[in-house]
Amino acid sequence: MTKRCTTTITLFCVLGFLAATAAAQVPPPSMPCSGANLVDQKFPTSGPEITHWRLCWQTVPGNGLLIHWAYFRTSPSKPWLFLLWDARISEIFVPYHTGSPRFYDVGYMFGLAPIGAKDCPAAAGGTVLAGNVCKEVHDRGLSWKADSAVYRGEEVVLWSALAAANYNYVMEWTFRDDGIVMGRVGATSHNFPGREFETHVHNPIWRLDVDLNGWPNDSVALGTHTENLPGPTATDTEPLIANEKGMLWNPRSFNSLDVSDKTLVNGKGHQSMYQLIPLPTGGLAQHQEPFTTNDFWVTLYNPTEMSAKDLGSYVSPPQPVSNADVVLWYRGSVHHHPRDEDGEKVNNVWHGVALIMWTGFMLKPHDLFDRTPFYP
Amino acid sequence: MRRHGKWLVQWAMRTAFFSFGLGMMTSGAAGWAQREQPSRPEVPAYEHGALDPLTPEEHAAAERIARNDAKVKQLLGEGAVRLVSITPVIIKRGDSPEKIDVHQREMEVVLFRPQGEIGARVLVNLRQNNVANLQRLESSQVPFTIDDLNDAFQLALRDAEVERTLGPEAKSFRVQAATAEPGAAPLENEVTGLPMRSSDPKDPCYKHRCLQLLFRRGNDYLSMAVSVDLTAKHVAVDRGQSK
Repeated sequence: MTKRCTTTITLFCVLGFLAATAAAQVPPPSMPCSGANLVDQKFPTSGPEITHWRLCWQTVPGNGLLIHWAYFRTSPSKPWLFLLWDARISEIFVPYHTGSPRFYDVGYMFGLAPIGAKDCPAAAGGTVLAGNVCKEVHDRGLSWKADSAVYRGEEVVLWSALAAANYNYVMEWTFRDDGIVMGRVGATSHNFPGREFETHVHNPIWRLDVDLNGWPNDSVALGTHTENLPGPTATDTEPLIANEKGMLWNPRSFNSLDVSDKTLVNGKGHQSMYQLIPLPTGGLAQHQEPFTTNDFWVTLYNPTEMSAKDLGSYVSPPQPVSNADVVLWYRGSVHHHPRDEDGEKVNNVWHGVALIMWTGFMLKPHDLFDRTPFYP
Repeated sequence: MRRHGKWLVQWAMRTAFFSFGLGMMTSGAAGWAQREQPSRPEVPAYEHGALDPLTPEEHAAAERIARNDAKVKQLLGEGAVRLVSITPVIIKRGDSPEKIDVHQREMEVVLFRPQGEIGARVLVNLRQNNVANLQRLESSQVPFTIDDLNDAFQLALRDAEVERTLGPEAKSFRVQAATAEPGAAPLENEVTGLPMRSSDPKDPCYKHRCLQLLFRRGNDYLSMAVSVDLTAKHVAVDRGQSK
């Protein structure tokens, strides 16, 4: 009995020592934010840590909710991986079908709509943060299922709503336990006064300063799937993007922008990547304005190049973006064909609101983990 | 006695090992608890992260440094210059985040002179009390503010058609100000604006600073809008279409 007890205590001590040593080996990185602006979230939310996010958020009139300095760790014994320097909505361009008006909704220093307990209930894992930001930590549904074995994933979501005159734009950033980052914009509130029945498109354009494993040495490839028709085979290619440029997203090609760092490999020695994958709802629009003629853009980092409407000038003349500090841009579209569900005109006043319509993207890790995360 | 001595040695070793292990676990747990602590409401200024919200003192200092800089004055002149925004920023330096001072306090100050429509993006280093960088902005690169909205609304109020359309309550409208508190009732009569630009080079709003004014009554909007060309000081009522 004594011997067994001693063995148990010794084992307990050794495990404790190892755990403490492991924790001490990977200290959290210093961050350029503090207090409520710092999000430090481990997963699973209960029990020993497997993965971990550490990031800053900031609110800015016009652009709304920004993400800075996002670090991810695939396990407590692995180093922290720097992923994002800055992620923001650079512009929301809204042209109407008759050709006019054509709005640039980030061009006004709009503030954020108020957020309270009704928007961000504690029962949904919500915490209202200063500055009209909601943080939700909750279940995200199935992460994987294999017959009777199953795992439900979790995520931390930050969101706020830009009060852009008659519209509210819900700006949402999701950081999942499996390393995926999602950005979404939801358009809601009142149809444009006087043109309540005119179809229009809301085009949010994200500027994503992805700095995988830091900012030098990043390269971007265009992930492309090709069906070798006529015939039963298909191939995947990843041509390197050598110079700054804009590109179309082809849903049949499953195009993605694949960012790699020449020094970053996983435990199997495979080159790690993060893939920018569009998550459109219905489609992507193109308009007359040159910055809307492409869905993806890759530019060389320049701190003065923050405005999506000037993208054409940013890539002219094109500079090399191989093994460099790169910035990705992606434009989503919400096609808003008004319907009676949006409201009704009563005595020359519009009464009702457009229900929320979403568009977005994901940044998905590829060969970042050494194995299936959250799998026994 | 010898057996007892051996037990004593073993006991001492186990106790020492256990204490060491417990100590490490406690320190590890303490470190973890430190990382998991909820946010602190107040952070002393010297501990501010580079991107933490501005204090009123920092806001005032950044604006003063930007406005008093000789090169900024040279660019914008001595006329009425408006403050558009002040935002804490962090600048990439070196080749890794570990080499960056995460407590640097640098502010991007955007100024705008309506006369001549010239803007400036000024990078202010609060620690060094100086301007680190200055960039001229074209009119189209300067965001609209509540000052522009005020100007546009005042122009609109002087327009006979707008006055006729809004009726006697025209002057009861107030421009949309700061964000309301959660649950607060909106202003009864409020005017808001959206920046617009034409894609037709023949349209003045292809280049001019133009705002579309919208009028809210309580939760609902009047079914009309007013286009205001701030550059040309021109107003037009847009009645849109009906279904």
